[in-house]
Amino acid sequence: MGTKLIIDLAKCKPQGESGVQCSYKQHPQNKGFDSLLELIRFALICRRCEEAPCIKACPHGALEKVTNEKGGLVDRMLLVSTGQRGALEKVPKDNCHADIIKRSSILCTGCGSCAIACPFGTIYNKLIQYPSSECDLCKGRLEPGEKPLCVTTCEDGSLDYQDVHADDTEEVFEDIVVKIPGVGLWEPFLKN
Amino acid sequence: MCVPGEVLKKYKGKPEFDLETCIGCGACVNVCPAQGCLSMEDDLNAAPPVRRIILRYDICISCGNCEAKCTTETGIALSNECDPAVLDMEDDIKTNQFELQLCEKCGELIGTKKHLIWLYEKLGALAYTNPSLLIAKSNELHKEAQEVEQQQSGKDIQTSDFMRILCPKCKYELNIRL
Repeated sequence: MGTKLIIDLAKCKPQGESGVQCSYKQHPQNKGFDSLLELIRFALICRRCEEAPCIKACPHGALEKVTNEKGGLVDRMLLVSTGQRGALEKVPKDNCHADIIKRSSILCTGCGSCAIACPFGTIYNKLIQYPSSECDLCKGRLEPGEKPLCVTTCEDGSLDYQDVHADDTEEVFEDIVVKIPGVGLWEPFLKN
Repeated sequence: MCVPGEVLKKYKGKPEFDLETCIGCGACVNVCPAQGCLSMEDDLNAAPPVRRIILRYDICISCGNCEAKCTTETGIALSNECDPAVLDMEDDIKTNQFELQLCEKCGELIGTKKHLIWLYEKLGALAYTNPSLLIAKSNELHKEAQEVEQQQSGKDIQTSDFMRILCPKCKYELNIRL
């Protein structure tokens, strides 16, 4: 399956708290990892309210709902959880594609209204970066066997970069593996 | 005024805060391209905790970004005032002060009290999804009668925390654990 960035969601903290650094060349202050966390929260933890207070709260219309975005994070992400025998099991991504909140980095002013308005605490200020950052997973910039800077500087042990063997051996395109703390805890987050 | 004649209406002069509608969210500080012109400092140790938004006219380039991106649309606006000369440097610095709302569970900064009340009004019926906004508004309405001492809650999330003003992280905990 190749080498992937593995994020352990149970241990994960924002960039400022876990000491994670980003090696983005032109902007060392880039918060690429936080941008990944933001997308993961929108894709997995967000409850996808039918009439979303965050969208209504945003003064500049920077938040919108996106369905079936090709090449978006949900396509790039592989969800795994630790199964009964300790092996990683693939979690199906059914119903994961609809009504995902997307934040426009151009329209957002970082006022934090969405964070206050969200009834479930999905969005919080430290996660919504202004100015926005991007993560390119250090593609093309890593020596063979080298790990990205975020993995080597991470203090809470939530990041890893290695080969992944999930039970399902079919070839996948995902480049980020999100480890979730057991299917039982997770089910409420997914929209049925 | 030392400027002769009338100033055009669309003249981009000094930005001025509208103390009525500015909510102190800090969006203008984020979008200001002149570094150091608009800045923000949160004093969490003061009683009550305050946020200061500081505007320095000597650095301002009158670009109007703050006006265009203002959350309430009228909180800060360019005036027709075009005379930059002052006798005292202090006159070149404007400070706008706001009371902050901290999380009643963990003490983390949520935003300014005015921001919460503005959101309550903006969201309308949707504000009822969010007890924090309702409580913030009711605290504002009953400001004088509100001197009831806050009951300290323990570290663990309790059912009574539903009726507290919570930061997003505590709200998330509450929704998962209870």
